[in-house]
Amino acid sequence: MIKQKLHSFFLLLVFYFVLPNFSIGQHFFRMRADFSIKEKFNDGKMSLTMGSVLYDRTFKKLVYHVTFPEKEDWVIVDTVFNRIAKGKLVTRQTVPMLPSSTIFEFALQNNLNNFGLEKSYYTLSKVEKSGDMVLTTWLPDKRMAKVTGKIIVSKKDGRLVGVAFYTPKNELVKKQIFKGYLKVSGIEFPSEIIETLYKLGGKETKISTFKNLRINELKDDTLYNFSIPAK
Amino acid sequence: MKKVLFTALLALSFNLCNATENADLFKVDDQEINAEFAQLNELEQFVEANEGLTLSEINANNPLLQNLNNSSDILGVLSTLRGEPPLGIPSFAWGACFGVVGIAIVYFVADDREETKKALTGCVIVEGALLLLYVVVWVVILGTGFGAF
Repeated sequence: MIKQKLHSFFLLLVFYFVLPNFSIGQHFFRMRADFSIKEKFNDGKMSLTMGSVLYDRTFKKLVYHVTFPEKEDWVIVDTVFNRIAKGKLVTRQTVPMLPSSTIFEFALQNNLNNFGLEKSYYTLSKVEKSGDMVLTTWLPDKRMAKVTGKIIVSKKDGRLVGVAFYTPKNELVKKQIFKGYLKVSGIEFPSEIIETLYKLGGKETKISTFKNLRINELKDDTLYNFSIPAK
Repeated sequence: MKKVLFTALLALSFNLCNATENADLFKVDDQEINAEFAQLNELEQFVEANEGLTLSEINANNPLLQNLNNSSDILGVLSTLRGEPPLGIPSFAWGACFGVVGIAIVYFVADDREETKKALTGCVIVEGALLLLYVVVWVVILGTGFGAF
């Protein structure tokens, strides 16, 4: 009897400690989508960019295969932006972003709902509820407070709805609205992002749309790991 | 007691007003947006219908191209995607300028081993140079001091 109980207890221990290691969890490592970006500037000018965007967490490359206005490829590695046209490197410049700090990375980590702020130099300061929206206010680290202000994140049903960026003087500089979530293989990604920039010359609006979302695609390695040609 | 209650109610109403104001911030007037982007929407549909078409292949007199820039606003495109990187400052500079704090910022914000290594390299190089300078200064001071004797 005791032996039987010990046996059951041992089995229970095995289940308790070993099973979590076999828990079903999928690793999302790459995504691809067709995009279009429409912009209206405050001088009345407009721009349209279309193509497909690919991001791979292993290669740490963000690749834009642009088809309009002209056919070219943009590859962002580290903080370096490479513009490739007709198989030749046309421009190389430093840009204020890392592929691992973009909405693509956040989406693959299933961390888009907080806009990656949990792992940033911002700390959560306030949580409010307004109707069906939950609004969180994030404040920058003291060292950064001189250059950047608060960020307000709005969520509805656990999904990111909007992000508003402020200056240290509490002036709204930019807001982004995330709409029409696509759900593919357990990953949610907005089909539309409406961004408004508040500039001295007036506001500017930009609409980014995404469709044909593909997650963990096992083909086209050469596209995800785009080789940058020599200049 | 009444004063405390009044203050609490005032604070609560202020918070509620503030929350409503913030929620309104994220409302979008779809009709206004559609009207504003009508020309670009039409151009997008036109390009989709003619797969592979580039701007230079469209007749310059096409009204859809009115006020259209002939190149993409690359930085604008990238700004939408960006979360909160370490202010776009290279990781090496973070480590070099802010030392351990810089490394920590890169580690937590970039969440990237390679970036953290670069920040660490920046920190080590600058700290090493400072240490070397410190040693050199002391050697010079002590040398001068002993020279006086």
